[in-house]
Amino acid sequence: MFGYDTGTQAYNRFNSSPHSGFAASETMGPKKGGQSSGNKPKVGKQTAQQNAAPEESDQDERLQAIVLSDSYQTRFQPLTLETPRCLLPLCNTPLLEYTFEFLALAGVSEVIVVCCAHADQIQEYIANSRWSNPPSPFTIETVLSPESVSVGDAMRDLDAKGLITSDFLLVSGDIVCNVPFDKVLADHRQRRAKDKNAIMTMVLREASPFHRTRARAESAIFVLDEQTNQCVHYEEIKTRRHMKQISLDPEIFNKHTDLAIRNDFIDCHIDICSPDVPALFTENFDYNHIRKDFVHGILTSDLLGKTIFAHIVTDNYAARVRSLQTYDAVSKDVISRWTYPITPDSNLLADQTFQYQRGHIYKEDGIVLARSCRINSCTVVGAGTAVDDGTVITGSVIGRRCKIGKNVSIRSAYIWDDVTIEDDAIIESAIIANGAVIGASSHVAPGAIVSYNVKIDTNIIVDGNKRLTKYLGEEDKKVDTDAVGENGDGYVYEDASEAEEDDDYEEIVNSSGLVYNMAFLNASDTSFSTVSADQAHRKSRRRRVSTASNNTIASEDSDEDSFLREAQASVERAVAENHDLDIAALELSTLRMAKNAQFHEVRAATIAALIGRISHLINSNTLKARAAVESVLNRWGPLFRRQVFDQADQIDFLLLIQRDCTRRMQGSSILLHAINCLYDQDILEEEAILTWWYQDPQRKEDADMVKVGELVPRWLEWLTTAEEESDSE
Amino acid sequence: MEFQAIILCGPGKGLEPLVSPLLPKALLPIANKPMLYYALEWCQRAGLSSVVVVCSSGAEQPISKYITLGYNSMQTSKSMKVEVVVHDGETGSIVKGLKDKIKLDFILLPCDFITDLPPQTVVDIHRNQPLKTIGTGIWYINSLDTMDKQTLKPDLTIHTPISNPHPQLLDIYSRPKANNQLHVRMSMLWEYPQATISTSLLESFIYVFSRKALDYDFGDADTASIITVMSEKGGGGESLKWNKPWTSVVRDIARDSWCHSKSADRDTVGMYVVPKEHSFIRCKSVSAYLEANRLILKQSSYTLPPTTATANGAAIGRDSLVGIGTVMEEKTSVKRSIVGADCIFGRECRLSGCVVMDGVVLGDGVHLDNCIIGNGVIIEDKARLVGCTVEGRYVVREATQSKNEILRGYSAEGLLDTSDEYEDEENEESDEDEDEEEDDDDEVDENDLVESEGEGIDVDDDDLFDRR
Repeated sequence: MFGYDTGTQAYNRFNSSPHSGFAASETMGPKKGGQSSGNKPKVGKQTAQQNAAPEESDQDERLQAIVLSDSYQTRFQPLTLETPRCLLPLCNTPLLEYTFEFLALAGVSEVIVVCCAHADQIQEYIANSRWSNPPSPFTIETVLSPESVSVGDAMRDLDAKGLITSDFLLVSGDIVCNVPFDKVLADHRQRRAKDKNAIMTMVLREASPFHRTRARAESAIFVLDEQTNQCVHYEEIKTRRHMKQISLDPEIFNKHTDLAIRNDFIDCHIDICSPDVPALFTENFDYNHIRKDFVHGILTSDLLGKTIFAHIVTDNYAARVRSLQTYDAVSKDVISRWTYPITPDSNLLADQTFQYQRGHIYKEDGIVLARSCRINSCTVVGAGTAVDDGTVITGSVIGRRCKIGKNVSIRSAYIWDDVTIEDDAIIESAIIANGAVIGASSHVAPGAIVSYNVKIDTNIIVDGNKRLTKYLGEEDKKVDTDAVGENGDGYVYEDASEAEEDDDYEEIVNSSGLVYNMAFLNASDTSFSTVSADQAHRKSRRRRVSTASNNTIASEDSDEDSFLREAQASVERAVAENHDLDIAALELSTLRMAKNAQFHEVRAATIAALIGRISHLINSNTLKARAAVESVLNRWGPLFRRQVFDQADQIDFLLLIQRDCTRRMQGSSILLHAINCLYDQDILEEEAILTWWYQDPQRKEDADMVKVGELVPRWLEWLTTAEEESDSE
Repeated sequence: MEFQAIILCGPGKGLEPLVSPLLPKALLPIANKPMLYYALEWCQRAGLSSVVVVCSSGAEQPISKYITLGYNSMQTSKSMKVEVVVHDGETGSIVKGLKDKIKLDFILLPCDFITDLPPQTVVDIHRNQPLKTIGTGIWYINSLDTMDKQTLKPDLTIHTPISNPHPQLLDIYSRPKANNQLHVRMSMLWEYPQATISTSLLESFIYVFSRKALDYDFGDADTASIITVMSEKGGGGESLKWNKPWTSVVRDIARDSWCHSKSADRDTVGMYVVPKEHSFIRCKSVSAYLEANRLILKQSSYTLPPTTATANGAAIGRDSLVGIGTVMEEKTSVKRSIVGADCIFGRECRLSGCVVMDGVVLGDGVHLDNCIIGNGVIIEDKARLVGCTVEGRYVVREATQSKNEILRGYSAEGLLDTSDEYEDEENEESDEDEDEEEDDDDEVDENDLVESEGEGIDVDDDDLFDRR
């Protein structure tokens, strides 16, 4: 047990809460447990409970989290050729630990890690970590999704496996966040309870647009309703193409009074999703990216009727390590304790012994420092590292068991474990991965990456844009002596495949470097000269896809009769099974759009269904005419609100009811009560009724029509007298 | 007081058929007092010493007459100097043209607003703005449910969040028409990462501006670029920047605060939204005019009608106002209404929620509900009008029944044609009337829209955005 007592305050706090007792002992139920199968404690009571009522009983307590361990990007290559991104060390602790720490804080009780590349390493890491053992606040399970090449694939995989039972937290394996989650979750659940269509809540951290942890390449503009925080528009910022403007659909101004356009969010892709989200990914197989495809797709689709909300966080830390630039920024934030309680000295790993010293210096036990070396502020030094005379280290992270020679200068660099740096070397703003050797008097320029076990000879200058690796892959290459020197070992890494496929390549490379060139981002309009034709083209392409699919539905069966039949059946079903009104309305409007039907037909179908229902109630002697009409129309009348708009509609509507009533028993009294009821509900206005009665020739088209209207004059009399009474008051 | 006021009197196109060359909008009575009275009274309360009333040449005579004979004679203290100036032109050039008369910071006012917002509030807001703020505009949200929403047509106002200590105006667009997208500039979002698009804010046309705004000129290095660009576009030189509706001028100043690469030290336009507890109405439409009358009725903690007006057995509600010299016959009742001077009402007339101007004659048994009756109208026996607007001097025939109609004289029709022309002409050249303002905005904004539509072609019509 000793090992687990070294956890963070957050973790300890969590463990001491009554909640964690339940969470820790919760089982994974009948699901297949990958590597973490050793973590199955007593299966019994709770498995039964889960089987019996997976959703209702413990909706409030249980929270699933999906961790996407893969980023489906290549920004960290060549480092990620050998290690998955989520296991790269940030301040000497693998990134995944920060994610788990956040999930523990958030009160998650079940974590599913989706592995793709390097799945074996991740599984092994999780199996050996403290999260897989009993004191862990959540159960953990790894799911392999080796085929997936995007977030969308992973989601579709999850949907197919049926692992998601309730609303879940979706995060990537590379976030650092200390946002308390109860409020976010409560808000989300409240919204969900009110509106089933609120399928997703994005957690967005407010910051300045030029904040260092805001990834340049992946930031976006969010347009939110100011009152509800409903997201109505999402637009990714294209830095390379000098995006000049964003375009908003005028439709949104009719639906929302005040819209906030925000360019100051850090979006770490922390989302609470309903189970609809994976299902929607399955339905739309071309959705890949969670933001630019999914969010954008949902927001631009009228048919789906789903809504996405944002939760704005103003005073906690949230960041995602998604590029080298953000790696640098987040490391600095962790060192300067913005992420408290997640800091190096909280010793997230069992064997860590960091202690905090003034000036944001963190040292582990067992460090050998020569008398004349200087460790300046904002530095982390791991155990077993030896620093020799005259060396100066400033604002850097040094891993474990490193050997740093004499008179070395290290500034803003990230040096991982077992690195050897020989005398008089200079390292600035670079990443030196495990086992690398930097020869004496060599100079690693800002922005360079020296991957695992690369050896650099003495007196070599490594340029800032170089990425050196020893990983060969399938290629057969000779040691690149120009780059690493005669006695060196390693190759210059070139990301060739990417360049061909992705036209954003340049943007990504340029903006994901460790050292970000601010000149690159031009905030003013002055140099904007090209309108992003490509962007427009892309949009139209996407749109075309969706319309095409609509057309196919429409062409399958477009005649009016089939619409009437289906719509009527849809309403009848809604009434019989007592659906939600909104759902029934949505179903109708979907049907209407799919079949390209007129509102007239929608009204006809709805009336047929509802009057049929009323007539059924009367004929079966369940209720008297008036009660039957009221019971049905009070419940379902509001459907007409979305079908009847102006006076002409109302008159058409009245004629339809009248016609329908001619074929019913007690048609005249149904008609009378229906008019009365709908008048009370303000669906029919006096004027329309009067016009219909006195002026419309169709009303008296044939004998049936006249007969069914026999009771109406009395009601009209009442209406006019009532009117006069209220007038004379 | 270190402020001067400019009151702009427009032709009031939205108030047809109530307005005429003889009765310009500024003199249309609200609760039996001309609209202009309220604006002047507001200035008086603010403690201003000098007011410039600007009207178009056609309306000068009646307005100066009112000010010399009506308003000035009513005032006990003559501390406030009121001056009438004739100016036919865009509101922007009107303001610019007053450069010589305006020595202090100025408050720009329309003649058609009714509010219980104290003038001190407005002045204080401007005084407390940061130094960079060259002017402050007031916006309001319609709080009246009974107002005809379609006549309001709010623009899309883009500003920094109202919850900020000093909200700032960023841009104004007219509502994009269907299928036209609204394009929001990235440069604005980099400068102001939190921007709000409001769809419900209405322009009060009350602006408090620093005197130095009038000096924005060719010689001024700061704005030279704008003017150069503008003149390239139209080839007109200095006057071009100002020769458009004032709102567009304000919008340009606001845009100027972010569309440059070095916008940091640019002048900005502050904004203030009338809080919910105050009402604000601009009489730009017949519906708003009716509401303004009711608002005044409500505010003036019920005025008992002057006794001279009441006749035997007529019931005048305490919620009504009746002018001097009006006579009412038996069993006539007046509720929630305003009746002008020298009217004659027959027997058993019923009025509710109406505005009746001077010299109106009603026969017996006339029922009027939510109507506006112009000067000298004659309504014969048993007519029933609901929600109607009746032009001055019209004769409503016996037993007429009308609902939601505008009744205007055949005889006047011919006149109206010419007066329409007259209005149009006037619109083109002058005045702060909103319709015209919007027309102009449309024009400008469409350019904006077009500009971004083209692919790869630099169609910078506006030219504000491509500059070194």
